[in-house]
Amino acid sequence: MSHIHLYDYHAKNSRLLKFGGFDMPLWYKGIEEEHLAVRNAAGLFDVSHMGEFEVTGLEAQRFLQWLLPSDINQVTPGRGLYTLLCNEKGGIIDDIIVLAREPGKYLMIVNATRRDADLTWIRKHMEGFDVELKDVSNETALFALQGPRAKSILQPILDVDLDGLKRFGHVRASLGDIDLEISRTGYTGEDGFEIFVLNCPIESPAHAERVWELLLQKGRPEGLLPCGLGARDTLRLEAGLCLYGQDLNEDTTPLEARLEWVISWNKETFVGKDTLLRSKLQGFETVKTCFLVKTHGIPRSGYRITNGSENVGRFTSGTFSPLLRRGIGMGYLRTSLSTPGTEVLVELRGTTQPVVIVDAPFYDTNLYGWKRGRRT
Amino acid sequence: MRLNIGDYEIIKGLYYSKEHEWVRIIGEKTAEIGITDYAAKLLNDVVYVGLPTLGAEVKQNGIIGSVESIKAVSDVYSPISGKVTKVNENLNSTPEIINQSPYQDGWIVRIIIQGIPNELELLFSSDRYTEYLKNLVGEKS
Repeated sequence: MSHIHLYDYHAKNSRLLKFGGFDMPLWYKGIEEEHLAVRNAAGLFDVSHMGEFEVTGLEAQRFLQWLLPSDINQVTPGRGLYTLLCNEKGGIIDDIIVLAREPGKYLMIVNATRRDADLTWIRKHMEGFDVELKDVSNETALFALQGPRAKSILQPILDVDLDGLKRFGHVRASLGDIDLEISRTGYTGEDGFEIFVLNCPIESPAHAERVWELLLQKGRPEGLLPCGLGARDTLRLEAGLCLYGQDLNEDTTPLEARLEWVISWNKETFVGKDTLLRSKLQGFETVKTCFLVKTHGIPRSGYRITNGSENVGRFTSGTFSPLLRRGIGMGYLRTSLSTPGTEVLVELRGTTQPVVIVDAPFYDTNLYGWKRGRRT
Repeated sequence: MRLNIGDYEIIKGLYYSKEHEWVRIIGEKTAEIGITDYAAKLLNDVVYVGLPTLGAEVKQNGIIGSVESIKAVSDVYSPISGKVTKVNENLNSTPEIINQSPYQDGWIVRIIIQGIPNELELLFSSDRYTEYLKNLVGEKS
């Protein structure tokens, strides 16, 4: 069991949950209250369990262009993207974020549960490339500041202009002697920032503690709450975002997971391209689908989906939506049934309830989420 | 009378199960069943309660319903055998009363007791449940 930088704070103030080998905060005040704080004001998450790898070298760009299904050549310094690590069969090894720092220097952010698997996978493919891989996870604290008030909380304490930071943009900043990297990213559907506290070893967490305390202090008058993994899960589900290990694994492809948009088919080659292309031409049996329970009850991972007579799918995630006040979830459904509006049934703890297929996000994007209030 | 173990409230005079249900005898043959403050706090925000159908018969330790929070679902086991005569329909619209008032407004079912007389003896008294909880909370901290 490893600890994250702010273990002492979380042990004192939250209900802890073991996740990915770490003692993580599940909730402080309650999942629902924290969830709504993020949708209506702001929330601060400690996600220091995530892994950070530096990929550097003369051929770092060429290496990533081969390793990743996305076109890394389009990602200029200061920009970033959401992408995948796929195996030769097209199965998803992890879903990750890559930030381009400067030519030949990238930062990869990976799931806590996949740190070791990713390291092994990347190392295996580095041979023959002039590239270096450095795991800086234990020297990096990571906080996610999310919600419509995130920018107005963060801007006054930073020496950089956040208005100039577009989604997936990132920038270096400092707070006294503390080195930060700020990216406009998140896992809630809301506008927000992920704040990397650099060069901050777990054993000497003072810098991370100062940033956490400062953000809480500046955010409180704006309605900010510290939030745990419980709210992180309900928020990402409402936004329709996948969780690795539940909705994605090595047996699912980006096509089945509706993540084809990360693939640049124009690239001459990348790991898994042949299999993925074949699958795209041949079609695939099941596809990731979002469901809203029409009556009552809450779907959970593993619950079966039927059309009344036979199994047609399975939930991989489910929860109660604090905004919709209903059960929501996602899972894999027979592709021919996956049109929004279609009704199927879920076997829900001894009863059968109708669920309707919907498009993600689950909420009204005029009222919630990072695109709220935008004129289109 | 109320007892407290840490943040958790216990009511004198009720019977308690190991799985953190309580039983209140409210008539010669009638009992009310709910979950304890400890169970409610462990679940955190209760957002859905699965209730049994009226007339359903349940054996001691059989499943009589379910309580779901955002994060988890937990079965409710009947601490005694009986037949369901009433369910708390308020829980359909306001499941959060389980958190707000686990021993009063948050009751779950009423049953006609059908069990053998010594079933109640297999349950904890409030004093013994207090000891049980003390050990449980102590172990975890």
